[in-house]
Parts: sequence; C-alpha cells; structure tokens
Amino acid sequence: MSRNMKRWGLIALLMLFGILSNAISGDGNKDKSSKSYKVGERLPTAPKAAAGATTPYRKLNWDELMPADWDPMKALKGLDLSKMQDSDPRAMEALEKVRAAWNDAPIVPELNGARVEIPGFVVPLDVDPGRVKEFLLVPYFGACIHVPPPPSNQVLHVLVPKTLNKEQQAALKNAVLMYGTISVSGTLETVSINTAMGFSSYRIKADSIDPYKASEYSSTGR
Amino acid sequence: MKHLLHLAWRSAWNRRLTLGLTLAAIALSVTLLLGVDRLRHEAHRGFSLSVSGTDLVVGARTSPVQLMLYAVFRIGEATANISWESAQQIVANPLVAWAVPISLGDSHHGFPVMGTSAAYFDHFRYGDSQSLVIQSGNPFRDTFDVVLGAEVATGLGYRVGDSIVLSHGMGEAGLPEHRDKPFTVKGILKPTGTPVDRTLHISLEGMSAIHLDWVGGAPMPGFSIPGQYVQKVDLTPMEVTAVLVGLKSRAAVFRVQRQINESPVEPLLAVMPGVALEQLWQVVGVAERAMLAVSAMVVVVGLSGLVAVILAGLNERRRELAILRAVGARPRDIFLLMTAESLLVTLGGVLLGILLLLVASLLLAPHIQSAYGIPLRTILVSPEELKLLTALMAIGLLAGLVPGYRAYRISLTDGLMPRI
Amino acid sequence: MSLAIDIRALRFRYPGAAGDCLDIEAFQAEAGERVFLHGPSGSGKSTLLGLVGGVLQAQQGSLELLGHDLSRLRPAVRDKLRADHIGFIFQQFNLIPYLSVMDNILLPCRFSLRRQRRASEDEGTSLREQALRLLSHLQLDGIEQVSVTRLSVGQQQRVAAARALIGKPEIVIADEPTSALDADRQTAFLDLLLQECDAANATLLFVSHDRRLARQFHREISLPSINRALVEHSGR
Repeated sequence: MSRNMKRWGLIALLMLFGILSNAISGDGNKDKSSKSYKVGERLPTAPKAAAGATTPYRKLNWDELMPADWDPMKALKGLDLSKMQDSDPRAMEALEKVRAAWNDAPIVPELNGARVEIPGFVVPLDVDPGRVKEFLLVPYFGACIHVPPPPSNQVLHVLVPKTLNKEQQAALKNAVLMYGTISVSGTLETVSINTAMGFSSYRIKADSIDPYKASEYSSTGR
Repeated sequence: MKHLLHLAWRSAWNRRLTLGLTLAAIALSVTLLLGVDRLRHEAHRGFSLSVSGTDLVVGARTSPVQLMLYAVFRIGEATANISWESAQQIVANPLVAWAVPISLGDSHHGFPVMGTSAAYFDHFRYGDSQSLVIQSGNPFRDTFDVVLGAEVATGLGYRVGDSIVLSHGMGEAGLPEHRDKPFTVKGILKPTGTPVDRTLHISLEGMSAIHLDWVGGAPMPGFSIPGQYVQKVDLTPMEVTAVLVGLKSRAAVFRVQRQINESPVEPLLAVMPGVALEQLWQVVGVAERAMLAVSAMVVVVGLSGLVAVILAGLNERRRELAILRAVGARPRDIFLLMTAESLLVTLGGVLLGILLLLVASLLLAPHIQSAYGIPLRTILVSPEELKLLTALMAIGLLAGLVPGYRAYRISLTDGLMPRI
Repeated sequence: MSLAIDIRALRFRYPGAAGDCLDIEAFQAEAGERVFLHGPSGSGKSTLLGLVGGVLQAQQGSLELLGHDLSRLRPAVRDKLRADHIGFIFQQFNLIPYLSVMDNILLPCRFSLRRQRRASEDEGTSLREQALRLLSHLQLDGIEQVSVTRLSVGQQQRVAAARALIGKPEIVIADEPTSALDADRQTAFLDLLLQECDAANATLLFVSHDRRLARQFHREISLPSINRALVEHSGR
C-alpha cells in the first residue's frame, strides 16, 4: 500500500504544480496565433485574389506607400557590396546616404484619403499597453530593437478607434507587448509639417484594428 | 449533504491544533503567491501610468532601461549628464514640438529633487493624458521656489510658505546640505499616483544657483555666494540630466531619434519610452516568473502538508468511519466527508492568506510608495487575483480528493468491523 | 408474525479466500423476537453481521431483511436499508468523539429520513425530546451536552443503545455490547436494552460469547452449529 501511495502522491504533486503554474502564466497569455518572427522578417502582404472583394477597404501593399520612382537603395547602386569590407569608407558613405535618404523619404500624395487595409508590426509609442490610443505600424519585425528603422514613408502613425471589442483589444494589447502583427483598416492621410525641411508622413485614422489573418495574404498574391 | 458538512466541521474543529498548523502554512503560502503577483501587477501598472505623450527621452549614453529608470521613474542615479548645448539643439530641431530639460541629483529627506523649466508643467502628461495640476499655491517663479509633489507634502507635513533645505546627492542621511540657500514652498501638486508625487520641483536656475559655489560635490571652503547675490549671476545651466521631447509628428520619431543618437556634439541616447519600458519588463520578466514559480511551489507544499496530515490521521479514524457506516453512511458519504474536511481547511487558509496580505499591504504601502513611487492599492482581491484563487481552490479540491478516496477505500474494506 | 430476518442457503466467502466463511442453511428471526447468538471468535460472527447490515453481499443464497432480499440489491440500496431499519451497538468505542452525546444519538436520523420521521411522530415531539426520553429510560438524565470522551464505558454503551433505538428501527443488532462492562453492570445494561427493545417492538439480535446472559432471550443459537463452513474447515 505505501509504495502505491508514494507513486500516487508524486503524480498528484506534479499535477498540482502544473495546473497552478498554468493558471499563473495564463495571466500573460500568448496569443494562440502569434508565431515568433525573425528580426527583419516581413509579412506576405500581397492579398490573395480570392479574398472577399466586398470590403470597402483596399488591401494595401507596403510598396505602394513609396513613390514608384523612388528607390530606397539608390545610394547603393553601382556599388558591389560583396567586394567591399564593412569598414570600407565607400560602403560607410553609401550607407550614410541611404540613411539620410530614408530620413526624408517622399510620400505618395494621391493616397491621401484612401480607405485601406494594411497589416504590419507594431511599435509602441506610449508606455501603457492596456490603454493604447496610438502606435506606429512598420513593415517588418524588430524595427526599433535590432535593425535600423524603416524609411519614413514606411512608417504609419495609427490612431486607434475609441471602441474596440474584446477580441480586438486583446489582439492589440498582445501586438503592443510582443511587437507583433496587427491589421489596420481605416482612412490614410498624408501629413505635412510646415517646416523648413518639409517632413511628410502617413497617418491612418483606424476604423478597425484586427488580428492579422495570414490566410488572406500570400507572398505572391495567388 | 448539510449533515456531512456539519460532521466535517466538527471533525476538523476537533483536530484544530494540527489542522490549524497546516491552515497557517497554506495561508502564508497564499499570502506569498498573491503578494508577489499583486506587487508585479502594481509595479507594471504604476510604471505604465507614469508618463504619456512623450515621444523621446534623451540623456547621456547609458542603457535605455537605466535612462528611463532615473529620468522618468526617479529610481537610481544618472551616470552622466548632457550639455546645455545639446539640449538647446534638441529644442531647435524643426520636428520638435516641445522639449523640457530636467536636472537630477539632489534630494530632500530621501525624495529626489528635479530642476526643470516651467514648460514641464504644461507638457508633461501621465496616465490617460492627464496634466499636472497644482492643488494649492502657484508654479515656481522666483529662483528659490519649489513645487512639491503630493507625497512629499503629506509625508513631511509641508505647506505653502514653508522653508526647506535641499541636500546634495541622493541618499537617506549624512548628505551635505545647501543650507545657505533655503527654498520656499510655492505650490503643491495634486496626487498623481506616479513618481511625480515624491519629487520636489525647482527651476533650472534654482538648481544652478545652489551649485554655483560648489565644486565636485562639496561647498568650496571660504567661498560662498549669499542668496541675494546669486540672482545677479547668469544662472543658465551648463548641463542637464535629460530632456523630454514631444514631436510635431509622431511618425517622425525614428528620424529624430537617429538625429539625436548621431549627434556630433557628444554621445547621446534617445529612447522611445514604450520600447524602453518593454525592455525593462523583458529583463525583469525572468525574475518575475521565477518568483511566481517558487511561490506556486510553496502553495503546493502547503497543500501537500494538509493532505499528508489528513492521510496520516485516517488510520486512527477507522473506528469512526465504521460507526458512520453502521448508522447508514455510504462509502460515498465517507468520501465526501473527508474531501469536505480538506476543502474547509484549504478555504480557511486561502481566506486567512488574503487577510494577511491586506494587513501586510496596509503596513508596507506607504513605504513602497515613498521609496519607489509605486502606489499599492489596498484592495481585498482584484478580478485577476480571483481567477488565480479559483485555480488554487480547484487544486485544493483535487488535493482533497486524495484522502477522500483513501477513506472511501478503507470504508469499503473495513465495513462495520475495522481492523484495529 | 412476519420475519424480520430470513436467511436461506446463504454462502459467503471473502475475495481470494480458499473456502467459504459462512454457509448457513437456514436462520430466521421474527419481528419483535429476542435472539441470542453465541459465537466464539473465528466462527464467522463479524461476517454474518456484515451481511445482515448490508455492507457485505453473499455470493449465493438469500438474505431477506423485512422482506427485502439483500443478496440482489445494489450497495446504495443496502446502505439505505441499513440506515432505515437497523440500529447497531458494538462492543466498545461506539461513539464519535468530536460530537456531543445528543449529536451522537441523533446520527441515524441524519442518514435516514424515515427514522427521523418515526422519531418525532410519536406524540408530536421533537427529535431532541425523543433522544432525551431515551436517555432518561436508560438512566442517563442530564448528560446530553457532556463531551463523549468524559463518559464511563457503561455510560457510553447506554448512549450507544439510545442511538441504536432512536427512530424505532425494526432490528437492533448488538455485538458483544456488555463484554467491556463490569460484571455487575452487565445485567443492568441488558435489562435496560431489553426493556427498550420491547417498547419499540424491535427484533434484537444479541451476539455474545457469555452464555450466562442468554436466559432472558426467546431463542439461543450457536453460530458454529448453523455455520457449516466451520465444519468443513475444521482443523484451521
């Protein structure tokens, strides 16, 4: 009898511990659908043709936010980076040029007022993940932690709508905490600051914030 | 069913000494678990309410977490300062809407003193975009005016018009004081629930003034400038600890951040508060989870102790179980009886644990508030904690099933004639 | 008169045992009868009481309790029958130590609605009053709130008798109830018990090794004489 008791006792103990730690970590529950992204990884944003065409929002591709004639990598053209050392002054100078160009990237004025839907990664602006009123949306993961931030025409300043249902709130909070993915639908605006440098950027007054649905997108659009 | 509960209660009460010890063990473990969890939540909550609407915090090049800690949460000390020239450059940046320099380093009875411009009170926001409100008095105007945070005023019993002396450096006691230049309390802020409450606010000029005749952290012997002459000197600060920045376009944050980080004047660090705070939580998160795991283990240990005590006592109770069967109890009733006893003790332990936590937080809250600026709400139990407690009770129920089942089996085999 | 207990061709063996523990061709007890069952230890007495009480179930034969055949009933039903119709008195340690005398006496009423009703329907008295009356008859006035642990053995046995009799069960089974008492108290207890059983018209099955007590009983039966399993396993 006593050997059986010990065995049952041990099993019971382990079960208890497992359940309790689950209950505790259930507090910071990970979104079941969030996978872990690699730094710099982008989302496939080409909408599948089969995705319902009846929504009033046009599914926007991040590339569309850059003018067709603007090449983010222009300064690197003509340089064969594979033949150069990292510390080669030409490479450094070229990178500097690229970064400067990214600081002041041109926008597409025609997009002002467009009703779009676009998925991306969240960069938090304020410190309270429970009460997010605005945030930045960027095309790839880790934009402010490990890799340089994107050009200014690839940064969307999102204004969160006042009413979100529980699922949307949870998805948003999760995305803010994990720098994760979210899908924003709303009206895109181009904002110009009247300064000597004339900095322009995109802002989107979101009507709805939703979890990113990977099934509606693919890399190729098929 | 009711009579079984009555029996369980009488039985448990009869063995109240041993069961009382296990109840106390469970209570302490619940206090520990709940306390750790609550402290964690309150710290997260307190920090996340402490600043709002600030796009960048700029300081000397240190770690983003450290910069946030001393510049925003007033915990710890700055490793280095930044020059006034850099601060001015930031103000001049065309993308910057407002920039407020702050200067830290002095204290008063353990509360940090912060030198800043009047713009701080206009632009600083906390919580849900709430501004700072002066409850009594006025903002500072003269060089030696000070505006107190709510905690400082109530903690030290100051009122508008009082005269106070600031100490050089951070620490509790034994610090050199700026005794020749006392400050007058000009205003007291409304409570905010943030580190603002435990801060004394003076002007940047005031901060410069008290350090004019000091070099290297101590007053220069034989050389002191009396208060009334100080104001004739140029009191523009030479350096500040940090600058809080708000931008004209929030989407420009990356660009301005890069500009500042690449400043040719000196090594600067510009951090986005949200990102830096997330980093802090990631670092702390490991410790948090470890502590919670340990606390959970302690609860399991407490429950195991209860199960062991009840199991151990079962042998002596075989006669009692036989009597119960003789008067008509079914094995199922015996099972319910034992499980109910176990549950009663568990429930008692949980309730006592919650009470103990309440007492502990009432005693410790003022200290934590003044030391870390984290307000501890004295609540009985929060909704999230209720979930935790429900899980705990569920586990207590599972644990209670063990002696229940054992008693059930004993009762079946013994019947009316226990083998004693 | 109807039969309170009717046993026919009953055979019982414990799981894993080599042979039968009980093999009784016939045993009856009529309603209101006093039966003295004499059985030394090892004669299957405990087993028989377990079977009659419904905690054990025979593999063969029939055991009818007030017309209900226990050998065909589920454990839950047997437990209920025991609660409703039988009162037990054991040799010692009859009482639950953490309950008061009153609570001990009323225990059967907690587990049997029938006994609860029968206890209080007599002249419309409450349960408490019935218990007090029984205590009085058993010469135990005034002890209902005394802690059980402070009673003498004689007092405990009488409280046990009160518990067995509350709610007027049809059958009272007493297993060596006097063996722990002093000689001079034994007859006194027996007299009180018989008196109360008569008043309730209950069948009394009194098991004891002390044949001197058998005088006041209607019938005296020796268990070894009716348990054929013992004969087969003689020489154990």
